[in-house]
Amino acid sequence: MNMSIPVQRFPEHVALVGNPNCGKTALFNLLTGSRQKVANYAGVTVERKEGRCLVAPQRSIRILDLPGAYSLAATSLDEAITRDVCFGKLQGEARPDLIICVLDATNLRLHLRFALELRQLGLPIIVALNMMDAAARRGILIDIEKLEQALGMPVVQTVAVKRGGASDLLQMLGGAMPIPPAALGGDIDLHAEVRKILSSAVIVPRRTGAIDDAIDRWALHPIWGLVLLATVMFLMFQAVFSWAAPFMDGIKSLIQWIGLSLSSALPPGPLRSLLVEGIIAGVGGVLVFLPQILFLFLFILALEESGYLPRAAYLLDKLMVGAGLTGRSFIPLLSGFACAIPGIMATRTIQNERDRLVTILVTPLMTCSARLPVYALLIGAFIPRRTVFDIFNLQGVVLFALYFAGVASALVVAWVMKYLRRDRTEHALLLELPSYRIPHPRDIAIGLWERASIFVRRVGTIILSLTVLLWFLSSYPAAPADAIGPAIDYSFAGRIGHALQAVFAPIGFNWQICIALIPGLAAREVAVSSMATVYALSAASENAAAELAPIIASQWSLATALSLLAWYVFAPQCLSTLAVIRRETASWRTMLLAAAYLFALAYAASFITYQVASRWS
Amino acid sequence: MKIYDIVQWSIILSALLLSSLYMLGRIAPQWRVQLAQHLQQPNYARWINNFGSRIARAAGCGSGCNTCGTCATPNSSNKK
Repeated sequence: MNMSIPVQRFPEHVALVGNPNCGKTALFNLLTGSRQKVANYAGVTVERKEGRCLVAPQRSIRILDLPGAYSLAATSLDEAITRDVCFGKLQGEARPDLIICVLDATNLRLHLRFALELRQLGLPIIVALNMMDAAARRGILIDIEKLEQALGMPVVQTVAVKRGGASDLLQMLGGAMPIPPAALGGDIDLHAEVRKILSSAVIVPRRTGAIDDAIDRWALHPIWGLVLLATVMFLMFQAVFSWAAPFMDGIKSLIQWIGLSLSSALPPGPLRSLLVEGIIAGVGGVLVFLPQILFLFLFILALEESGYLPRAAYLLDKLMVGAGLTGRSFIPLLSGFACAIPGIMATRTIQNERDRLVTILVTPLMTCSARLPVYALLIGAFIPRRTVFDIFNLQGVVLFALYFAGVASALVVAWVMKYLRRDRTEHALLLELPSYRIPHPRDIAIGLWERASIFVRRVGTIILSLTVLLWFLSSYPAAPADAIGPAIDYSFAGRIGHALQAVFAPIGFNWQICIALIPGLAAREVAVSSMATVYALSAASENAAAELAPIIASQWSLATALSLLAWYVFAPQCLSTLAVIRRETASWRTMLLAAAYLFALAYAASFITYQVASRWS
Repeated sequence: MKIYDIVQWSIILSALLLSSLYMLGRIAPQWRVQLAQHLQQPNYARWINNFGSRIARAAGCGSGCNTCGTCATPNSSNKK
């Protein structure tokens, strides 16, 4: 007798979906062991991420983390990715065989609607009720059985930010696939359905958001809110200089010691020159800024985790709309403080194509962390370490001013673009304000570790490589026997630097700066390592890494230093940023426009700064 | 030529070669892939083939970036 036995199917390819800021990426990290960026605001994930998760001995499944979406009717590029993957329409991506719908348990009123909408996919769905710890703290009671019945899908509780917080989900993923829920009729009012589910399965205390409301009365106040924002930012830059100083001195001493040890251990020759004047001077000159970068990110990560940043976006919306941007531009612009590339990618959350393009074009004006070593070097060399009004660190004030100049110039450029275009319609900001959360020390520590790893990796790869190549170009061809000037003048780099000086002389740049600008195209902080190498080779100093600041302080005028600072506020010296602009806009023209206007702005700002400062000093 | 000179020039040339290849992979990943394919031709010595396969990996996503923290960690991959 031929009997057909139903075969149990196990999930192999699973997609995490849900509204923005429900904890999908935190859950993805917990399941796969990855360390993708998480933060307490919507729009952090803008493209699909993939990982593997071991669900049973010898059996792993593939997990996709998709951008947050409020609906399958996508209105932005990131939502379109989620929609296309769910319907199996994304090229090169198989349709998942199981969906994990992640819901924020503290905000079911908003998130349940999407869970109901997913029923039309006809795929098996597991609902992960995330942030259950936060829901319990607020006194929110959820009847899981009733919720399962109402949704027609199995529901598991998760706490994605805690180890073991997804054990129930893992157990379910290790078993057979659930039956796909039946699609809802097209005429069903999803909002009414959500209200019905909430009334039967969820009890929410009346004053659940009392603390948030109390904080928001100050944080979102049109005047005090802006004062608070300015104070937070100001303190951040003060701390970058004040707190990092002892750590920087420690690294500087270590580099100095390594340089001196190598100098005494090796006989004079090209290898010693490569190691001491090239690698130690160049790489060490950048590595010394690691503490400042970490202190900056300590503040940024804490603000991200706390839920304050969307409030800042709300506060600045009026200002941004006035400048031709939208409140939605805030998160991409803020991401630009770390690196312009994730900032440009984060513009995918902006629905309006025109707003998105303007945001892409002004994001490089945000001061990325790669510019911090350049700023810190010049401020350390030219701005005295003293206090203003007995409270503020003057160096911190100048750093704040430079960051402010970047933001102000972005707003001015956006405003000009608004005037140049015909369509001047303004788009209202619809923003979800997350609950305030005390930053988790573990998340902050992971974030800082990631930033430190990224920085050290950059130092050990791109900066080291460029330093080695620049050392060669600055050392060869060697000077002739009857040479009068320094040997570097006869090298490839020396000749290139002198040739470029004609172009940059009106803005006060000497030939050493001109040399540093070229490798700085690959990564901005390479300009510091390049200057350290060039000055080490020029001066035959054995400790240029530690001495670079005093060397430039004695050889440059204040006008030149200010001109270089102005240059770095605008300069498009990062090929990767231009490549991403090209990729995200699919337009060479836009990329060339970005490069041209940023270069023109940088040159004009440096010219004015240099000419004014030369007359005053 | 003294042994020290041989050692020091070997180190310098290796550093220059590796740095050039690294930068080629970042700035022009396609060129690095083409070079790798060329080195993997069967008429070359085995060590050249091995070297070619070692440098065959293209850099990052092709944008020449891999620096922003949004790229994949070793445990996951990230495709557009």
